[in-house]
Amino acid sequence: MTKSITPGYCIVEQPGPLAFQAQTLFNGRSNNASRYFMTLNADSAWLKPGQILLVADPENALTPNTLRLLRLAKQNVNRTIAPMSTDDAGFMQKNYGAIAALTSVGDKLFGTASDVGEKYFRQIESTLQKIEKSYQSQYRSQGSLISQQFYAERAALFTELRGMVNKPILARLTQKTLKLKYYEDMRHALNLSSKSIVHEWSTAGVGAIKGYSTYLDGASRAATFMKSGGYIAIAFSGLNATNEVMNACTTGREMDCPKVAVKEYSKFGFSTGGAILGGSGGAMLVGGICVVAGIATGGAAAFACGLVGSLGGGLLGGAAGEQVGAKFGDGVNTLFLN
Amino acid sequence: MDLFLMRIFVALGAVFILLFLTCVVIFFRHKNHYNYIVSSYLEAKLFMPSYYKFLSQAGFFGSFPVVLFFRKVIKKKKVKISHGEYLPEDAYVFFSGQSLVNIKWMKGYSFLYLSLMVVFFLLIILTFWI
Repeated sequence: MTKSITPGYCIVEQPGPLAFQAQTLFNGRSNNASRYFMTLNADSAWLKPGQILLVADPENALTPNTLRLLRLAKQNVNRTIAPMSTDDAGFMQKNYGAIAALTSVGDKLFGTASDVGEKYFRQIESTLQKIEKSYQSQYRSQGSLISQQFYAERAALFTELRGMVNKPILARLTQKTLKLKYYEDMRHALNLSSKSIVHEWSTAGVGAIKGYSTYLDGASRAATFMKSGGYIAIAFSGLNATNEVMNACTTGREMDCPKVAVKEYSKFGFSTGGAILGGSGGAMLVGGICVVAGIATGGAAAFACGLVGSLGGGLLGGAAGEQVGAKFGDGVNTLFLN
Repeated sequence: MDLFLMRIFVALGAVFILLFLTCVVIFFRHKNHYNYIVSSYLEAKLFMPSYYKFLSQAGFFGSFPVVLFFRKVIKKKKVKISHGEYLPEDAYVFFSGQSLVNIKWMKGYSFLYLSLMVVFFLLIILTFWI
């Protein structure tokens, strides 16, 4: 080892014991780097997809501070992944970028995604397929990935890909989804297998620097929110309606109290129902449009389509439901409370 | 005329509330069946659109698209999953081996969902009309 390199980490893609991960990463377990890897990660006997493993040069010992920060990032990730099944963890690992980026970008995405999204994702998918084919054909014909022609072809395709992802808003989504930032120095220095993907240590989400563990945590909370947060949001909305009713009933408008109650609770009920219907309808509608546009339903692009459809449909459905609820409340008041 | 339309609107609104509550009741009565089917289907490594996998973890909120997807498979309809590619046969085989108790409720549930959508659209139209 002639050059000093900073440590890195890899994200587990296949579930299995630590020895299996070392075998996959180092093409064997008999070298120094592999043994050091086993020692560094001895606290993780069996791993699920999405968990991180520390990778470092055995001849350049980690500083205690770097090691502490990396271990913290690793613990964050483990805490997020621990309650998940292996399948769910695999799903989260594949999609954490899309979920985290979409939830952080929020409504800004709608305008941009609706007009350019389909074409944009199709182009990216096509370039990714070209890259994959280039790897496969090179490996099939030469038995290795070291020819100059292959490097030139790969560089051209990556330039094309970078050009496509270098666009506002969607750039954030795709850069995280595609995980472009690989740590090539580490791969060469430790002679890692060609298919292994290592990332530089600072991108793990250590300390105040946002990174993998931060985004994974955000994505996990977004997924959990879908389950429990939906009920919390409904409860807050219900409390808000109750607050309006209480105001009407206690501020000298006691006569209006029943009418306000009917109208406010109607708005609350219909907007909740409308948001749920709109969200599910939007997911199916936009998801269907994406399939027609040629986007495979199993990939990250289709996932983004579904999420955009859900968020847009949910917002529209909720807004329409509120209008319907207000009218329904007025109707009930006119017909029964006058 | 306005009063007549208002009566129709309120009646439709009441139908919407009833249908929605019925959906909620049906889902929670069959929640265990739903969870069982979803987990068995995914454990069998059968294809499900990536966003639907996410929705399948969201309980009642994500149940409609997932149930409609399952209904298509149960009815042996062709499901397009990408350009020129359709859902593999093993997904259809999975449902033909399932107990009726686990899947029969999905028929009524998806019918109620589609009815809810129709009623909701009618309500939106009437809201801006009357």
